[in-house]
Amino acid sequence: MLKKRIIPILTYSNEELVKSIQFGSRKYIGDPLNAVRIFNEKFVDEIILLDIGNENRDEFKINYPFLKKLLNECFMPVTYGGGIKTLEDAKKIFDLGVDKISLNSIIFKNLEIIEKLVSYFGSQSIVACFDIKKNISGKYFIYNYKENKIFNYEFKKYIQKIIELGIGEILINSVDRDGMMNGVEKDLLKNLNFSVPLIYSGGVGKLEDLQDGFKYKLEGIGCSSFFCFYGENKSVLISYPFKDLDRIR
Amino acid sequence: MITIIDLQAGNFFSLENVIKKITSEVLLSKDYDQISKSKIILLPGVGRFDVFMEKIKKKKIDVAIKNALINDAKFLGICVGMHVLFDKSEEGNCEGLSLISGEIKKFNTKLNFKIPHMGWNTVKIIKDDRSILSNNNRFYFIHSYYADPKCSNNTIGVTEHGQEFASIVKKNNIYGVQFHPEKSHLFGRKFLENFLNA
Repeated sequence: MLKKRIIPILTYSNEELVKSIQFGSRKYIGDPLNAVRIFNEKFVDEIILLDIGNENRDEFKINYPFLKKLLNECFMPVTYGGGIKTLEDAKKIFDLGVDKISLNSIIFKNLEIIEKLVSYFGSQSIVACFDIKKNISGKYFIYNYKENKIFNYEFKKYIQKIIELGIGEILINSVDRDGMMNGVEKDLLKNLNFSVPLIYSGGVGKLEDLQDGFKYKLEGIGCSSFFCFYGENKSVLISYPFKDLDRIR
Repeated sequence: MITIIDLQAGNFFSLENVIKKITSEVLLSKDYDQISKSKIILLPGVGRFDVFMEKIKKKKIDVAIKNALINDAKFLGICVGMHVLFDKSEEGNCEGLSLISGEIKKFNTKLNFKIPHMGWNTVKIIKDDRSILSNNNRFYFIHSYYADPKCSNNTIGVTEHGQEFASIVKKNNIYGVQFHPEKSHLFGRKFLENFLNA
């Protein structure tokens, strides 16, 4: 039987591992290469690598040589996201050994690219990543990180539209819970039920948060802070307590 | 010398990295002659059936593989590299290599199990082939289509995802696995070691 997945999400910028809070301020964590090596030794289920660019949200070129260095350390499935715009970008990334690619900003500009990518690589390799934010009235919207604005469309309908283009997996990041380590966004999760696998991330601070998350209709939970920090002072410590995690999924 | 066929459509680097931990005698190649005279061939595959088959045919890799098999080479196809061993696939229109009878089918979406089958699952051995695998295992799967061999003797391992499907197939010296040993940590490495020693 398929096991639920617990996935470290590593966000990096200029080859440095960083951790944000609510998609805002960033803390320097260390060397992504080191983090990947540790996760590999601890038998992580899979890993998500996201190049989130600089704090000014400038356009950036995909850093293939650095990604290759990271991939050389990975003997588990890897999803890469960050700056993918064209079929050529995707081909180069898959050639390095990535298993899935995650699309985020490009979804706001060009839906044709999704069909092209699915056609060429197959559904199972294409992930659509949505950053979800709550507005003042408590309603959820897709947040366009690059442009710093809300995408005014009923978010579940839009996600369904993207699924119909052949996407193999959905990754949902709760902007409000990002880096807060205060639990998963239950009000969001209770209404989600997609026909393709769903990975949720945002807010996991302890094992119980993962247990809470697994009660909902998702196939995996992504964690950043949970695997990068330790203790009340949030000292940097990369960890992946495999035995504890294996027991709860 | 182990040859990993590099068609720029598979985790050949990851596979090369894992094999290098077992033996140094491995090389990546898409050269017809090199493949034709190889004794051990690995074909990693990711992506669509038709796209992959076209790449194989373009470089006459299909002929090279058949040449090598006539000379008793051992072969392992991974994921789409396993799919192309069969006659055809519901995913596309191309013909496969027809090295094992059967076809590739899409998972039944009405069974309430999400497609693609993505994540860590186990393989149950139904025909022990010189200990290629122990029953205590877990491997990474990522696929929407599965192999349906015509002859049940060709299925040596099965996995459950709403329905039971063939996760390891074999005919003579040809092996095919649906999962990705190069992405399955120590289990994958152990499997590859067993395959190389079989």
